[in-house]
Amino acid sequence: MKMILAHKYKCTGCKTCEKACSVGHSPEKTPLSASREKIRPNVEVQKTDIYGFVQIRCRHCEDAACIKACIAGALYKDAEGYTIHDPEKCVGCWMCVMSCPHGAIRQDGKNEKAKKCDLCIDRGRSPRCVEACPKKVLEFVEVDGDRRPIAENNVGAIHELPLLDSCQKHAGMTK
Amino acid sequence: MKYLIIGNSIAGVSAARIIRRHDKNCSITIITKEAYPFYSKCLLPYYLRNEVGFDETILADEHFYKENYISLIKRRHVTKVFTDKNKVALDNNEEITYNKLLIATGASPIQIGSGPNIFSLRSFEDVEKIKAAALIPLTPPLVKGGWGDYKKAVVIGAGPMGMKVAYGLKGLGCEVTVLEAGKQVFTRILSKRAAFILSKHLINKGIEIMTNCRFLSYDENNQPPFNSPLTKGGDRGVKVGKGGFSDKKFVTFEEGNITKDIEADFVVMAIGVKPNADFLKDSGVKTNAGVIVDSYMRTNIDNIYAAGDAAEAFDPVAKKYTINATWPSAVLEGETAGYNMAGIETQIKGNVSSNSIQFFGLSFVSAGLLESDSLPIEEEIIDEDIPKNLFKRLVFLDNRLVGLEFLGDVQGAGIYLDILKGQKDTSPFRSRLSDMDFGYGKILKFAGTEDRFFI
Repeated sequence: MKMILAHKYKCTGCKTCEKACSVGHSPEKTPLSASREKIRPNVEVQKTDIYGFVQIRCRHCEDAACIKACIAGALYKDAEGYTIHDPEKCVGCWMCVMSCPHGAIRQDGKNEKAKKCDLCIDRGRSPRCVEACPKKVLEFVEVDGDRRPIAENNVGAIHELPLLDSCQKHAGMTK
Repeated sequence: MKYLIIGNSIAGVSAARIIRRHDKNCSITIITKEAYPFYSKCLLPYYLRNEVGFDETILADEHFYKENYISLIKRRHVTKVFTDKNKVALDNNEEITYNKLLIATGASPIQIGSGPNIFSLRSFEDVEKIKAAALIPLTPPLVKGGWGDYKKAVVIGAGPMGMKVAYGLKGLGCEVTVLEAGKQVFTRILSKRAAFILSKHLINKGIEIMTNCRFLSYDENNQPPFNSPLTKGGDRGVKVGKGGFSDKKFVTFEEGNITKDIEADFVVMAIGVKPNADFLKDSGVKTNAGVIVDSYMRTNIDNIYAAGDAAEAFDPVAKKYTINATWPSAVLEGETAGYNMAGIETQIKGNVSSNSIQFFGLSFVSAGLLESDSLPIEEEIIDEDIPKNLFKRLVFLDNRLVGLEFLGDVQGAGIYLDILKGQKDTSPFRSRLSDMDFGYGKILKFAGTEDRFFI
């Protein structure tokens, strides 16, 4: 499956991706309707210590904590392994927000339900942020089960988790 | 290998899923006293409010059991567990053997008093009964007091269940009063300040909340005791006959030292739940309030496990054995039990209390320890805007994050809760936690997960 990943150090924090996301998810797909309806983006650009900026969005974790946390059956895995959120079933209880270790699930200000990056499924999984980035920082690439990029320079990279044990395959489990 | 699970809610089903994932050939049987496949008990207050329909509360239909080769025995109670013979007895005298047993029987609402108009909320049947009591029968306006009046509901207990029921009843059109014996709503779940902000919002939206009021009785045949104008001349209310309103009924309660009463057409008890563990009497399984389990969800008997509202496990923040009667805890305990039952030794981590809800557009998430009279906790307020109902607060103890409450804006709560569950020293990044623009990016270095974001 594919995920949106970024080139380290290249992002300047211009937030064009956030704007493209808001506009793309607005009722009329215009900046005006995005602003009027206060559509918050599904991705958030944040500053990091060493890597410049990073864009935080749903990681489609293999053993997603949010799916287990949902009391309404509104979150599930599709056939390809993507985590899907169904706003029809969502009751806005925020169990998923509480369980996502990345903070990737957001409050949809308008209808007070949860929402998250859907990889622009309405465009057939063709993410607008990737297209909009003026510096071509983002790429929609193949990843492995740990959601790590299957790329030449990163194959087999395992990192120690020194202080946080978040994002583990089995959320909450220690081995 | 025969796995037997008593209880068909989230703890039991979570365990079953994990066991089946790791053992394709074993036999898994779930016994439930209810008549339904797995449904969301947490959705019942939404079902009460008609925000979801019956079908939407079913989280795993008959398909799920078939696909996973799980045998579901419905409408059966387990009456006895023979720990020495590895078998259980059902209420129809049938006996079922097991190699490994999981007790996931949940808990039942504590009830004071009984009567046709005292309810609690734990099952579909409960919701139907409450709805029947709450809804005004469609009588013509000719009947005095029939049209335009609301049923008066009194909810006892201002914890999560009580407030969700109150919210649901308000949505059905009732006049709702919540009686709480303690000093605030959501005792131990919100700090006094956050509870005050939330109460103010709910009161503004029409739910009456009375704290420091201890429920005494709801006796439907009671005369209101203290010179109520209704007792004068023996006229206690409007008698309208079939389909209309009957005599007024009163809840008697104590506010300080004064006994008072309040009119109530029906009462819903929400003062807490008691684990369903009575059937384990004389079985040898050690119980306290609930079934005591270690960090592998094992009871004192080697092949018997427990999870969910019935289990009493160690809470690393509260630092004691307690029952975290919440959905996230039940998932965690159920899965941990499942792993261990399937032979994958796994210690539970992060079994803390956590709650989240939304009332009339005001949301909150909270977890862990929020206030303490004895411990030297330190608090940090991330953001505060009382008129906007915004209040975000963190609680630290020895540089460990032990509590959080986000009222109004719940964004990013999961990051904090993940850190809280880890119970590690946050010194290297503690100051960032109270930044208003805090996000995962700010702890990326400490999480060591940067390779999941970059090419």
